[in-house]
Amino acid sequence: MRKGILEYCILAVLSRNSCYAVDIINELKKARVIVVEGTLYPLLTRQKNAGLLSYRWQESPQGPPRKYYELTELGQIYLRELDKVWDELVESVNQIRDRK
Amino acid sequence: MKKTLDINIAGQLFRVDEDAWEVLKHYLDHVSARFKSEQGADETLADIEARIAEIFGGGKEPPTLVSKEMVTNMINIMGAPEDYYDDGPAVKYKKLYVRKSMYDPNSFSARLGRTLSGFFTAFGKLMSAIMRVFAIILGAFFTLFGFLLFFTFVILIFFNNAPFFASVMEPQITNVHGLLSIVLNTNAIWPILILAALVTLLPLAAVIWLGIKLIFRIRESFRVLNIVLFLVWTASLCALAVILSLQLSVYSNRESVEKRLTLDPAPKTLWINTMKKQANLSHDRYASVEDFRFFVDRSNDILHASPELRIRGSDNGTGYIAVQRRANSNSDTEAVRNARQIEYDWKMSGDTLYLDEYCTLPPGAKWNGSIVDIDIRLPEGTEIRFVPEVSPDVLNFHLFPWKDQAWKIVDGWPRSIDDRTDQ
Repeated sequence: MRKGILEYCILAVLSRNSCYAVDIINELKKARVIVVEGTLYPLLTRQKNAGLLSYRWQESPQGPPRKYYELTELGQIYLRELDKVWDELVESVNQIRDRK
Repeated sequence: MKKTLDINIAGQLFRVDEDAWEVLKHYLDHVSARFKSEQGADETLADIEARIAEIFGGGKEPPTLVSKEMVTNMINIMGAPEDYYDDGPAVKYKKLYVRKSMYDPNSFSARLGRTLSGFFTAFGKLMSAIMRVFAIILGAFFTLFGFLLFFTFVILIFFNNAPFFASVMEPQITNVHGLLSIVLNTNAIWPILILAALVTLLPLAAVIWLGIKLIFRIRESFRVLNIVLFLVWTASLCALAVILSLQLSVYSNRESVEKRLTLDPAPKTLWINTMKKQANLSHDRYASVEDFRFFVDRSNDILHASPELRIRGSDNGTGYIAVQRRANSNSDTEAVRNARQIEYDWKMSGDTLYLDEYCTLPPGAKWNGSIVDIDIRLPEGTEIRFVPEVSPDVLNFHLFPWKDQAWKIVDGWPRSIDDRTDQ
């Protein structure tokens, strides 16, 4: 479940801008969704292989070029579906939690 | 002494302490094993390697030295593979992924290389220090010497009329302020001097500052100050150009008026005597440029200048004396008027030519190229004798030997016949 939420968060971060892996990590760390950076890389590979993400190489001011990830069209559709599912899930869980 | 290994992570070279290498190798084996069975494992591992290289601060020359603490810190950031997420495959790690360098730190060539590298690094640092000290000493010496010369120059050029300097120095030394007061409007002199100082001293100060920055490795950049000083310099240059153009425009047109007396027959000996004498001239400021001497009577605002005498042979048996008064101005008419206003007297009486030792400009007039030229042409064999009381020098008559009083026209030129000549 945690992995699913992480994947959703990654898509949500990338829906705003194309990002370098460390930018995504920083945002996820700030939201306390992940603690260690290593978690991100296998997820990015998996999402890329699923056609949800693509990347381009961009020159870096320090060191070698960096991979900048962005959502594909499929990724955007998938994200909209996830948004809907998430809202329904939150509502359902809240109903159960709030029932006394 | 710790052993080090050179390793390649994500295409970047790192030097790793042996104990750090043990930890790093263990971690990378573990990561490699964790993703081995997953699709796209190579790409994931490459991304993780790239991030590890970035955390280690890769891409530097010489390569970053990775310590055990740095590896531990990296693992804290990246996390242990089992912490990545909880439903990944659990596979035992088994294979080293990183590419190990073939470099053997214990080989003879490696040890020799390190020794030579250490020696030349130390030698380079020593030479650099020596050269820097040498540059500082030389720079300080030339700066002090330059400033000394500069101030001496300023004192000589601008202030040699001061009582102290006047008492110890040659009075004929040119004083720029005095000269400018002869040529330019008095009110324009100090602005011109100040603007000229700004135009010349600002670039000089900039060069000195650049040298100090280079020697002492000062990296601060005073951009606003630089821009302000550049604007001041440009404005000074423009203002100086405008003022000088206005002041010097009086030299644009040159005209002359001449009075000529034919000597027919020419005397066998032409005696030269003077009437108004420089020695009796009342003046309170004196300046000279090459042969010309200027005498300024500031109380009456009158300027006097020495004439110039030239003597040559004539083409026939007769001769002549031509006195030409020349002056400049904005227009031809004004230049002629200025030339006619130059006061200069001369006369011929018997075989003696009487000349004034100076010409006089009208009160209040500045020197505008005003010159009196005395041109004497005499037949071959004619003698020219200055009376004993008159030195040819006061009339700017300069022919070698300088101090002779008697001359004779030979082959079209005056030749000395003075017994006093000490040739």
